[in-house]
Amino acid sequence: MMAMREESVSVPEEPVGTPEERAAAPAIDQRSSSTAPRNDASPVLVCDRVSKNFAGVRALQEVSLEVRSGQIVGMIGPNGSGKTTLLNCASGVLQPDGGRIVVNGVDITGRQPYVCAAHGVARTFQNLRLFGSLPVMENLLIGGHLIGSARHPLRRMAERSRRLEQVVELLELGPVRRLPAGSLAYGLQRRVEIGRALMSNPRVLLLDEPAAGMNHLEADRLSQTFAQICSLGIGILLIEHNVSLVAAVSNHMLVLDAGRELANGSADDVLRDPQVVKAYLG
Amino acid sequence: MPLTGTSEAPVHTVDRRQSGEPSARPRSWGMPSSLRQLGRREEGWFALIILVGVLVAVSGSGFWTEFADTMLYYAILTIGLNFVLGLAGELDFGHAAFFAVGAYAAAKLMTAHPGTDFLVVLLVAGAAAGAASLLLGFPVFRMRRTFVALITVALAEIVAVLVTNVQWVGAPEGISPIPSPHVLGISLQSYPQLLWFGLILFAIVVAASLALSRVRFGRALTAIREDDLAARCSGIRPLRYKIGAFVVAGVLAGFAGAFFAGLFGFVGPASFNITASFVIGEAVILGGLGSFLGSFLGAAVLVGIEDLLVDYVPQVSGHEDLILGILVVAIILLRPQGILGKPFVRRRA
Repeated sequence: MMAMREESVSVPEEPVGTPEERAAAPAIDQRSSSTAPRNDASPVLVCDRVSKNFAGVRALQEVSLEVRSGQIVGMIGPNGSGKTTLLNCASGVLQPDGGRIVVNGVDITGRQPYVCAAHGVARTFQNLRLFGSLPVMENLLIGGHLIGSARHPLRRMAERSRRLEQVVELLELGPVRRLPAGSLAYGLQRRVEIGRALMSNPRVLLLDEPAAGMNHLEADRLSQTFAQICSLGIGILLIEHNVSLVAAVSNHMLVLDAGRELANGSADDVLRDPQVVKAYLG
Repeated sequence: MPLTGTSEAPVHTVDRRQSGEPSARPRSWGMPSSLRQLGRREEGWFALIILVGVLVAVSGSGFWTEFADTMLYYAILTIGLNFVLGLAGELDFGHAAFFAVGAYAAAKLMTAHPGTDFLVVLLVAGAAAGAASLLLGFPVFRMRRTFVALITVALAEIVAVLVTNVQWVGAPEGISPIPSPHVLGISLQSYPQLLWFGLILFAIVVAASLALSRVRFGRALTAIREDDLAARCSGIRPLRYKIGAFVVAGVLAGFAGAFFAGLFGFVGPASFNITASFVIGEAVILGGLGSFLGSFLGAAVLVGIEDLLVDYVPQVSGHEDLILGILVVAIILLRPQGILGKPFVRRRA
């Protein structure tokens, strides 16, 4: 998969439409049929010198990164280094104090989470936030809230259920689709949450420790799923404590420490960086 | 993979039946499976309830038709409130305000223009209450949950004070007599006649409510109730949907108000005081938040206490609200999700 992704495939510019138009296009179908990997694609998420303070604590200091479509950017760093804060800023949950966040060419800095979602940002949460009492299927359908346009309610329903089938297949949720999400095993809940995020047909997927609580078999399977998601042309920003997992799947890595960028580059370079070794890996 | 351990049970059942394996004994009691499935769903029970209503209407008994009529408008009130209280999870304890708006709108229209078809009256009352809830929804749902409860209680109190004091709506005397309603040339003078009309209205309200709760709208409300942040990150605008639920509840309360005005021919402030709001809220909680069948059941218990129990046990007269309150406290202690509410699944830490 890594080798495949390094091939550069020329891809026509993605049309940038309104959220409705973008959501209306059955993007998963189209993208999966093309030979998707593309490193030269346009950036889907740009964080430009993003800063965030919490009552005097400088959680983020001018952190910049870029996620291109079909690419995985891994972000590592010790606890409290600002990884989740950056993800919260990018998804509209927090308002950055400085810098810009651009998704798919649209500046979404400081906008509400639902506006960010409409522009193609989808995310998961570090401490699972599923709709626990609802069946898996309902969780996914809620994730598909933005699909289609209000002018064609029936077509929208059809699109949503088609997307549901695709996501269920991709994440292998078929056997549990009718069970309450809260009753599932931890690893499965993580997959449901990724599925819910994918339902909105995002441009960029922000994953906050998706492998936490998974055994190594599940984590292994998850990294294959990442590759499949990338092949749909979705960019992934991945926060993960499992460094070997991040290193294996990321095209690009970023190390944060105390809200600042410590290192930035390919996985091999970053993990060999003496500063990273000193600050993070010990 | 952990997936293999959690395959769905029903799949096996179907397989066994298809393969013709001789099963030890039949699983049903001769009831067609489609009917059994309907029994597990809310619409099956509602069909049964409406059938019982039809039987009551056919019987023509004055007492029971009045009882059923009362139950119908209470059920429309609780079903409406369930959208806000049950689906959206917002503490609305001012539902009687919109009930009052509907009842007074209907009463004013019917006394000012006695020839107006009751369908028009119903629509006007629904629109008036809906418009009121749309207008008030914006300030109400800018607040956080606890404050929503406080502000809706205040709202109900304001409406109660207004209808007691404004001369245009009859002040303490209320509006009476309201001419008996008629629909498409048919006069609805007696309780059985009104019950026929009420049953049709109830069937439409139930069908629309069940449908609304199962499409994108209802799903978004449930998402907001379960996890506001996750809902927003999925692209749901909470304010928009909460106001939407409030408007649906308002329109239904308007319908109930019009039916009330047509039923009793009298609209007065005593029916819309703050206690009325609480009682409707208690009925929804008693029946089970989020379940429309539960909302009906709550209304049935409420009307059962007020009309039936008081008739058979005259000693409790005057203590109806106390009995309902004790029932609600008991339910909250013994079965927190209400009679028919879905049990909560705790989020894993």
